Amino acid sequence: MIEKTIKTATEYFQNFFSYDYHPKGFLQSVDTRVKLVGMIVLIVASVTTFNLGKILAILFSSLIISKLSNVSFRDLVSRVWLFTLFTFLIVLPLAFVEGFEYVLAFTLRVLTAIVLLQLIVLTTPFNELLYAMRSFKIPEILVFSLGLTYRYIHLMFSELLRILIAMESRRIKKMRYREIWKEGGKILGSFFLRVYEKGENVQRAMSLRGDRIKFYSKPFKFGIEEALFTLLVVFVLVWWCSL
Amino acid sequence: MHIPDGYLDMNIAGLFYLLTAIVLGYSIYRVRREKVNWTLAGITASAIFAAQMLNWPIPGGTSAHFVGGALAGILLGPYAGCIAMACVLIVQCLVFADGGITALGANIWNMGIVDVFVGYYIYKALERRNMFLAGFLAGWIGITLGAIFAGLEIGLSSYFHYSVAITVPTMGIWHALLGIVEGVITGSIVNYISTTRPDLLEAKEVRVGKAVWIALAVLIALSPVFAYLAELVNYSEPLENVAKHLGVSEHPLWEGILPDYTIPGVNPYVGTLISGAIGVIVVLAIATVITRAVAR
Repeated sequence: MIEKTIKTATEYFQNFFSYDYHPKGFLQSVDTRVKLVGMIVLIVASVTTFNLGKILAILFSSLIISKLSNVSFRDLVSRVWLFTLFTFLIVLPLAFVEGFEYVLAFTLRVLTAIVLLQLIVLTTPFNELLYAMRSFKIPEILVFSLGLTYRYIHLMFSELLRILIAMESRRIKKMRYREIWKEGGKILGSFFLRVYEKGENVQRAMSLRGDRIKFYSKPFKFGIEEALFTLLVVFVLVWWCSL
Repeated sequence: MHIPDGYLDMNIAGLFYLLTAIVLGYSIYRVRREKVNWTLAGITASAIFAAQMLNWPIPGGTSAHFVGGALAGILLGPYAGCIAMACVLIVQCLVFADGGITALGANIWNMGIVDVFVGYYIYKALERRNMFLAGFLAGWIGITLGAIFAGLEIGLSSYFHYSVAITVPTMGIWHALLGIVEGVITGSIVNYISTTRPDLLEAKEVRVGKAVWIALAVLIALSPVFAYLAELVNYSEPLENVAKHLGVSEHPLWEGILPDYTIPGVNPYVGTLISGAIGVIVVLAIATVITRAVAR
C-alpha cells in the first residue's frame, strides 16, 4: 500500500514543479487571462470537428507554440501518451462499425486537447491562474479555497505518509484485505481529524489577522506578446475555417 | 472517472457547466450566509486530494482509489463539501491536466455535486441506525450514481459513438463494484470520527429552505425543455433501437395505467406532459414517505 501510494504521489507531484522546468518562453510571457481564453478557444476548436485536416492544423500549431515556449517534445509526449493510447483502445472496436478514420480522428482530437491543456499547465504558475479567475469574477470564496487547497496539498500528503509509515512500522504480520481496509479506515479517520483541527487553527489565525479576504491581482497587460499570441490564435482559427 | 476533453458534445458540456454553476453558486451563497468555516473546505480539499493518492489493494492484484465526495459532504455539510470537491477537481484539471477543461462542469457535477449531495442525504437518513452502514451506503451509492451520470453524459454525446446502453452499464456496474471500497473507507472513517469526535458530525444539519423547493419546481417546469433537447439530438430508447434492429415487437401483458407515457384519447404531447407530472408527484410522494420512515 505504501510503496504504490508513494509511486503514485511522486508521479503526481512532479507536476507541481513542472512550471519550474520551463520558466521562460513565449507562452510564459503572455498574460494569463489572454492565454487562458486563447487556449480554451483552440481546445474547443479541436474537439468540435472530425475533419482530420482541421485537427492536424491545431495539433501542428500547438506543437509550434510548445517549441516557442521551450517545452520539450519529449516532455510533452511523456505527459500525453498514456491517455491518448487509452482513448485509442476504447474507440478501436468502433473501427468495424464507423471505419478507422473515425477512430483516428477521435483519438487525435483528444490528443490535441490534452496537448493544449498541458501547455497551459506547463507554462502557468498556479497563483497566476488564481489571479485570472478573480479577474473573470469567479467568487472569492472559491478562488481562496482553491489557493488553500493548492498550498496545503504537500503538507497534507506528508502528514498522511507519516501516519502510514507509523502504522507500517507497528505491523508484525501480513494483513488480509479486510484488515487493511479496516486499519486504513481508522488511519484516514485520524488523518481527517488532524485535518479538521488544522483547518480550525488556520481559520482562527485568519480571524486574528482581521479575517479579510483580499486577492491581489496583476494589472491586465496587453503588450507585444499578447498581440502576437492573439494573432496566432486568430490565424489558426482562420486556417481551421478554411479547411 | 474524470472525463477528458473531446468526449462530450459542446451542448452537453455547456449544459453541465450551467447546472454546476447554479448549484456551486447556491452552495457559495449558503456557506457565506451561514458563515460556515470555508477555510475548512480548502484544507479538507487538500486532504481529500492526498487521500485520493492512497492505493487500496483489492483482490486480483489490482488497487482502487478513494474519491471522497460523500465524505466531504458528511464532514463539511453538502454546501461546503461541494466547494471542497470543486476545488479538488479544478486543481486536478489545471495543475495535473486530469480531466478536460471543457468537461470540467460535468466532472464537478458527477463527483462534486451528485456524489456529495446524494452521499450526504443518504448518511443523514441512516445515521441514527448505524454509523458505519450510513457512511458505507453514502460512499457506495454516491460514487455509483456519479459514475452513472458520467456514463449518461458520454453516452448522450454524439461525438462518442457508443450508445447510452453501453456507457451507462459499463460505468455503473464497474463503479458499483469499485464503489464498495469507497463505501467501506467512508463508513470506516465516519465510524471512527463518530466514536472519537462525534461533535464534528452533529453540527451539519441542513434545513431544506424555500430556495430548494423553488429550484425543484423550476427543474420540473423546465423538464419539457429536456424532452425537446432529447428530440433535437434524435435520442431514442436504446432497447427500442435494439428491438428495431432485431425486428422484434412488444406484446405487453399489461399496458399499464399510462401506456407509453401517454393518456388514451389525449394529444400525445399533452398526454406525455401530464403523465410526466403524475410520475414526478408519485416519485416525490414515495421518496418523502421512505425518507420520513427511515429517519424516524
